[in-house]
Amino acid sequence: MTDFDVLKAEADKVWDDLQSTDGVVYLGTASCGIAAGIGEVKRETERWMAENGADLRLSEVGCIGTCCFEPLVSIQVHGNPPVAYGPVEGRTMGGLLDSIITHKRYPTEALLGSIGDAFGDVPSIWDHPVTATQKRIITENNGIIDPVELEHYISQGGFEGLKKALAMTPDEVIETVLESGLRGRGGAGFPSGRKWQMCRQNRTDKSYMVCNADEGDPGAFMDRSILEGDPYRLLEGLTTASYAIGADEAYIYARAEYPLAIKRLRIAIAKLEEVGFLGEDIMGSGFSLSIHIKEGAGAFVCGEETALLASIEGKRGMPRPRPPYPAQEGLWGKPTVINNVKSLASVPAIMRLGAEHFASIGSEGTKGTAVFALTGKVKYPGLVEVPMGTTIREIVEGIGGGVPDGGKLKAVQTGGPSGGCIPESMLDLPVDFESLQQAGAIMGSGGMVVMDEETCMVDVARYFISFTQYESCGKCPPCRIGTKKMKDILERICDGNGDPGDIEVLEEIGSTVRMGSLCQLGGTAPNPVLSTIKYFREEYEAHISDGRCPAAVCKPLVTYTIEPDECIGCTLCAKNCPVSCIAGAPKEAHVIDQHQCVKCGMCHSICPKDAVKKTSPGRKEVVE
Amino acid sequence: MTARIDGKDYDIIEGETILDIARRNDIYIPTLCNHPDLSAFGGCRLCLVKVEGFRAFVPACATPVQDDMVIETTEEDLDDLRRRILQLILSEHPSACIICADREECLDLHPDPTKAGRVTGCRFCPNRNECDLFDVVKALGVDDIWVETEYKDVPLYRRDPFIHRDYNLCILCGRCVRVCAEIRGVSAIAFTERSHDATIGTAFQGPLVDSSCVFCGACEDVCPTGSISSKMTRWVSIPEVTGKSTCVMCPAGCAMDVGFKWGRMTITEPSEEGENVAQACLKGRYCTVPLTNSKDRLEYPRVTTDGVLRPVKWETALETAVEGLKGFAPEEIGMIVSPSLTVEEAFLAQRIMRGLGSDNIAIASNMAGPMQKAWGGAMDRVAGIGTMTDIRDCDAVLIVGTDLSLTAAVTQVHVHAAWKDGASVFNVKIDPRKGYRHADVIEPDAYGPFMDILLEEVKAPGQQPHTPDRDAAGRIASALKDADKTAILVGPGAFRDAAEGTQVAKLALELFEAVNGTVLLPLWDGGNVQGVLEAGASRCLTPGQCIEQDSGKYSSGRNPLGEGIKALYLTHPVPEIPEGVEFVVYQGPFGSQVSERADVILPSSMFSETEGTVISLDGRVGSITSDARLPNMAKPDWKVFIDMGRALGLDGFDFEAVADITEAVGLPLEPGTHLPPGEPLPEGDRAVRVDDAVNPVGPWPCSATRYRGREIAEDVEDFLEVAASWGWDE
Repeated sequence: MTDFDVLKAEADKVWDDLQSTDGVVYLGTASCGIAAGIGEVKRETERWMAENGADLRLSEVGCIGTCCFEPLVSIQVHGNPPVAYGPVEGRTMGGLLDSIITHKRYPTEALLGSIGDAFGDVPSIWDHPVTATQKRIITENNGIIDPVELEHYISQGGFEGLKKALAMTPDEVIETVLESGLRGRGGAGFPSGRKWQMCRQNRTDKSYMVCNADEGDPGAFMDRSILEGDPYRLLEGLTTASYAIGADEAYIYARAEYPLAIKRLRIAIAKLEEVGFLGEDIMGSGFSLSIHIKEGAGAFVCGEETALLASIEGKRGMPRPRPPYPAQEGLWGKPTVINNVKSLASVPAIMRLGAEHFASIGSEGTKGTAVFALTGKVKYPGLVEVPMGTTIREIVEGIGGGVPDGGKLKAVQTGGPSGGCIPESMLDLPVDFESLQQAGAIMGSGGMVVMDEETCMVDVARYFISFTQYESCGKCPPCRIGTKKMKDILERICDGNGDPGDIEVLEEIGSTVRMGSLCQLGGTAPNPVLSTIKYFREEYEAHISDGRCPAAVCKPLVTYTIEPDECIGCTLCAKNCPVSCIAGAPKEAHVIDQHQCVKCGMCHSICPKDAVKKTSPGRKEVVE
Repeated sequence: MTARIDGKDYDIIEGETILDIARRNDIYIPTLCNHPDLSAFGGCRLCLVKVEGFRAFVPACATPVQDDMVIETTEEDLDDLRRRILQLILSEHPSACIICADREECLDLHPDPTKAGRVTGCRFCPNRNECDLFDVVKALGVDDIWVETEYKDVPLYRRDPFIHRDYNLCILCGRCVRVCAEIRGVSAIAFTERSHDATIGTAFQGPLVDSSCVFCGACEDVCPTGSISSKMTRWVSIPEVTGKSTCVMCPAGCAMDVGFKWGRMTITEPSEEGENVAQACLKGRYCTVPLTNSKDRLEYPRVTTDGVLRPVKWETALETAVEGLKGFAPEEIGMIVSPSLTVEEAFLAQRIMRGLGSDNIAIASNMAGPMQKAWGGAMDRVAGIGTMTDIRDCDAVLIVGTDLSLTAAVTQVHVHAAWKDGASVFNVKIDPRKGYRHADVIEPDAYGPFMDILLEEVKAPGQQPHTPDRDAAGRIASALKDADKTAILVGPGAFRDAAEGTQVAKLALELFEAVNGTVLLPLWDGGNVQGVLEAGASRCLTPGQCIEQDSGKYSSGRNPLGEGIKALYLTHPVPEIPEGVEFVVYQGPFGSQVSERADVILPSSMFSETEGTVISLDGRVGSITSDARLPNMAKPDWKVFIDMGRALGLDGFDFEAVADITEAVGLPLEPGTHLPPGEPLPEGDRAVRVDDAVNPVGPWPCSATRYRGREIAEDVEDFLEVAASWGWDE
């Protein structure tokens, strides 16, 4: 056992040393950075160091959230705060280091700003439009500290919350969380403190704490960023929660598809056990906890809490009816609390800064911040943390920078496959549990996909229902059969074979699935379909009655034609056509043989003059 | 505590679900996945009800009822939802007939046996008229399907013995999976795949034969559709006559529902009335019918003339037998009594022998002799203590000499129930079969020495140097001693050698007393060994197991297969006819190598064709009834014995019906009741009351895997072959 204050002093020293070191390169090394090519940047940096005999310190940090600027590096020299650049490529890294370190000049190209105050010509990254309106609580350390360095986390105020909590009684901890108004970030928004209270009341000899890190929504990566960028924050929250409910064992159910997150969690757990923040008698409080990591096996339904528990127990991940709720009978029949990564990651701040501080952020009914993974047709996609109650427009147009290249925004999809599509007209909707639910979407775990006019809403509905259908566990007929029927009908509509009355049948199946399903996978599965029908019914009708896809997305309904006046006869399209159905002499207008065309779109994307037009003329206008 | 259902208040019982209380009060809530014996599943979504204070509808089957709950079960929106869910189910189930307006007329008119392998409607469904799906359709009034119907077109599983699986009919209620895991403790099948392709199957969808399946048929019995059907009955459809009977394939004495058609037995299914709690095993469930209807049955009385067995009239056969038997002195005649005979038949058999003045009677069982010797001296009767259902309450169960897979397999249901309540289960066996999966299996070199060690460890634990056997024995001993209630089951595997068997039986009884046990049961190697003993059809015994050793009424009897025997009356095959035997009468349903050498053959019945009483291993009285026509000239054994007794000119054969014989046996043979247990005698009274000369005979070619000499199979794997030999070509 190490005394916390001693450890804190050491940590502060380590952090101050790092801050005052001349020549530190921070590399954004979360999965996103690695995929974007940070490895190449790192190699290039090492090569540059060897070539120039420079002695730079490399520090691998998590994801700061700006996916649009990956790979992202920050360089700290000359007594200035680190300055972030992105996107940086391997081949430009040498030049960047040359100018900053050798020539003491901060180039403006790819400059994001200083991670700290502005100085000289370098603005602060916190004034950048992408970050200016964000409120970073859960992700405050992301991209700043080295995720596996315990000292870094402690120096940023880490484990002060836990220390405070352990000095309280468990009931006081629960009371604090209740006062903070924290609601479960997994989707349903159940007050976390109430859940803990229920579990504590039902506890007899044993109870379990479980962290749900089975983030499975397509396009969502909030939990991963937290696990990869700040694992100690989650572990601190998990330990606090375990103390509050009286659990001496906790599980983190993490996707096996997150190997880096799992690796960093394992390192973090080992370090915490070493210093006595985990294991027997934590911080001398007499409270003991062991944390196990359970890797999921690739089933979306295991994000549902009863299926998740079954999976931990080694059974098939199938939900069971509630009640009894997990807080009554959970893991191996013992009272269990299951909290989302973001809920638990909010806990350290609540404990450290107090319930009032947390409750002062956010909207009337939903306190704290919301973390979104902003993706799709948006200029600055990335991880976004904003106070609850922020409008969708502020997120999409303010932080996200709107639709790029002058496109027109059509809808925003929240909540992943369980969520719904919100049309452009409703973008002033504030982000909180109730408002979104009323609009037919859900907060979900925090995916936010922006769609422009080139997105077909029927196709979107088909995509999401295919996903939920594939991920259905098959236990109850509404979900197993209902989603299959909806998928079949949507596929038919997208193929141009829709029948009048299909929309009504979709609505009826949708309501059956929603009301009849056993778990929320099925209960929310029709949302993408029902919300698109609600707001974009005319698109469905165009598909069914006119055989036309207004966004020209559904392949069977799309036609490629070459505008003779615009064609310069460069022959590129004819050379690249996989079925050789484009005829035309060089320097003369080309023609596509519609009967042979497989609608691959190659000509459209390769044409240097945009002379190939992609349209969906509708049934009547199809040229025979 | 009360709950309000549909505006009326009902008293509630702690822990029951909404469905329980509704059923108790005759309130109909439709359901498909629920089964009273199984855990709640909440999958079919038909039992959804509205409960005040709940955001969504809740499944009645899985929701515990609480005080002051306000529940609605019949509102229009609920019924609408149920109907729509049911229609979704029907859209994937070949259900044209279910919603057909002409269903009733069609049922009367269409041909009866189902001659189609692939089911496209009710008329081809092997489950016809027992369909839960149809009941729900009727109750909810569904007469159309508003979504497109789709035949799933998944392959049929037809390669397994006994069981035919067609998952095109499956509605994934999961009953089969639950019964396999929860009741049988086997878990051969589970949910596999996911999404719309979710189905039920073995690991990697292999055949059942390669899984841990023991073909008990429990899955077929709980299946609400025709997905799982019995290969032999799917072609014969609904029986014309049904009745209640008792299975004599093994000593568990399972109560069975039996069905007959065209004068033949066509189906045996476990009944809910017995201690077998509506469970059976592959022998009772799937082997009785094909054995009964086997082409190899003995059909005509035969007499050897000029070295050739020729069919003759019954009179001729009986005359020849009488002539032959009367040519020998009483002590030269021996009789082998089949453990598959009813109490009445065994009673008549011993009456014939004793009428002839001979006590040379032995039961064709490896266990009966050693048990009689070991327990006869220490207990007032050779019988078990406690019942099979008592095992469920035990905290420690020791199974010696069997794995429960083919001997009294249904006992495993009770053992599993005990295990689920936390009992430790030990299985001491040498058998290579897999056995009960949750048991701590100990495989010693020999039973006798191991039981010795075990008893030592119970009486003086930890005194001897460690060996693997002793460590295992220590483990068992401490569990047995720590338990409030213990059960000890002794099976035929320990009786392959008579001397060792006697030792094991003695030690088991000592062990039982040392740990102050609750249940001690002999898992006999024949269906009615207990009943035959009760009928007095063994040396030194009279009906009611009065030991007549000292009365001088009979000689102590000879080994019927031993020295000095010149004439044999066999009702069960023996390994071989001993040297010196000059005359053999063979009575039975099946021929054997021995019957080839018989002088007279009397074709008789299987248990499925006779009437009478049998007694299970725990003393439960079961009755046998039948509506089957015997093959050609074969007669029930009791009739053959009466004819024989009369032909021999003996007294006491004036019976017209089986009931008269039952009365003559003089035992309290009330079906469904238990005979008194075998009480251990006080220490001082433990004089040897059975002569050591009562030597066990054996080993017999009778075991858990044969019926009156007819081979069934050693292991599940063999059943493919056996099933083929029974003429199932599908």
